[in-house]
Amino acid sequence: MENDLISKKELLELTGISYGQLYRWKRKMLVPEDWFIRKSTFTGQETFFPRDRILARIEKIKNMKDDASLDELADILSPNPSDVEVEKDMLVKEKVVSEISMDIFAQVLGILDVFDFQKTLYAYLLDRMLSSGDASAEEGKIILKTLAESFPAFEGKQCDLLFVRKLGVSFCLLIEGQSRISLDPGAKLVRRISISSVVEELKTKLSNGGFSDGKQ
Amino acid sequence: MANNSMNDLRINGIGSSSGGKYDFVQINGKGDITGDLECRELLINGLAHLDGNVKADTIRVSGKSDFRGDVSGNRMIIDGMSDIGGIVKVETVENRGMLRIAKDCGSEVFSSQGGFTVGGLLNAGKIDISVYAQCKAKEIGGEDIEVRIGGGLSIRKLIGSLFPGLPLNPVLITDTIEGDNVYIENTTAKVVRGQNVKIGPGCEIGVVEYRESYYKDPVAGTSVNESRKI
Repeated sequence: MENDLISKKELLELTGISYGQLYRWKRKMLVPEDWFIRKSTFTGQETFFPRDRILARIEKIKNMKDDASLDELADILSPNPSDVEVEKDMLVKEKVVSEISMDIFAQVLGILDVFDFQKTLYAYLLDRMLSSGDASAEEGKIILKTLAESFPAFEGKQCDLLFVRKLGVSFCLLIEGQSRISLDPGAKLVRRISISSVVEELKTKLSNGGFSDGKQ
Repeated sequence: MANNSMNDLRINGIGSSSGGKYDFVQINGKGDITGDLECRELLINGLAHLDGNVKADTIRVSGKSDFRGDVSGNRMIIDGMSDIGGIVKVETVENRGMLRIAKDCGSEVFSSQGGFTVGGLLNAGKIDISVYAQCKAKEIGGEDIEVRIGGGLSIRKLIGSLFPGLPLNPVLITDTIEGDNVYIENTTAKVVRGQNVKIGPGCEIGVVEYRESYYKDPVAGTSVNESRKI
């Protein structure tokens, strides 16, 4: 799925940023290391990037860098969960996670009053799968269990959540981000979510959405 | 990090420590630190082996040090010789000796008056290199990049007499240099890309790609195979 690459040269031309800026952002880890893909071309080694993601990321950095320092940006964009804590009521009130998802969450991982970032992420992912109609309540529980058991092992890495169904049987798996998978023709990939981008989304939500009093 | 309750670690003579968290760490003589070390200031006079990762506000090496892990901090001054096996993330690196980094180096300011080797990418906002001995980096990227031949011939002759085998006309060797403002002397590179590129004396460059301005010193001994505006 990673065939659509953009060369560094083309990227700079398209976005109007300079070499210096790109290196600065790389240093500040605003652009993940594994997006720098080295390939040999006839002019020697060149660096390529996954086209859609790097363009989206640079757009985002350009938009946000006026309001936040590069270090703050790095925190929002990093795949590592931040150290935010949010009250359960706040999550429901701000419509980050629906009440129904919260109930299912409580059944699987217990009743919590205060959510740390990781738990918030699980609940948010669950809510997404349920509200999009991709997963049923029972299936949601499987997803939660998988996340709780396996997601911490992906610390610092890009990670994708896959949800697959075949002949009415469903299962969910976590894989390292952007890897290619092949399924047998009878199976259907219901949903693939890049958790890293959800982490970003959620961090942006939590830092902008009036959660300041819920933060520690 | 600057916590008053933190202890100092001093090794005078020969000694070893398993690492840990300290305020001030000083090694005079020969010291081995076998684990991760976190401190406000690390001062090495003599010989030190550090097996773990090192995190220190200020690192100063006046002697010889061998870091096996990653090094991070605010300022690092090398007045002697230093080998670093991991990744360097230090805001300001000042090298006045011989610095060898096996992997990447990321800094805001990287200045070198001596020789160095960076096995990966040398990435810094401001790169200021005076080439006194051979300098090598796989790739160099940053905002302002300046490479000049260090000192006069007499100083290089003096250094050459102290360290036999050093070339009298040392060069910086790298695959690619990419930056906003690039000025280079005594550099051998396959590709130089930048906003404003100036090629000084003693350079051997494969391709120059520039976006705004380009100047090549007409002096003999500088060659650029190809240059194009992009």
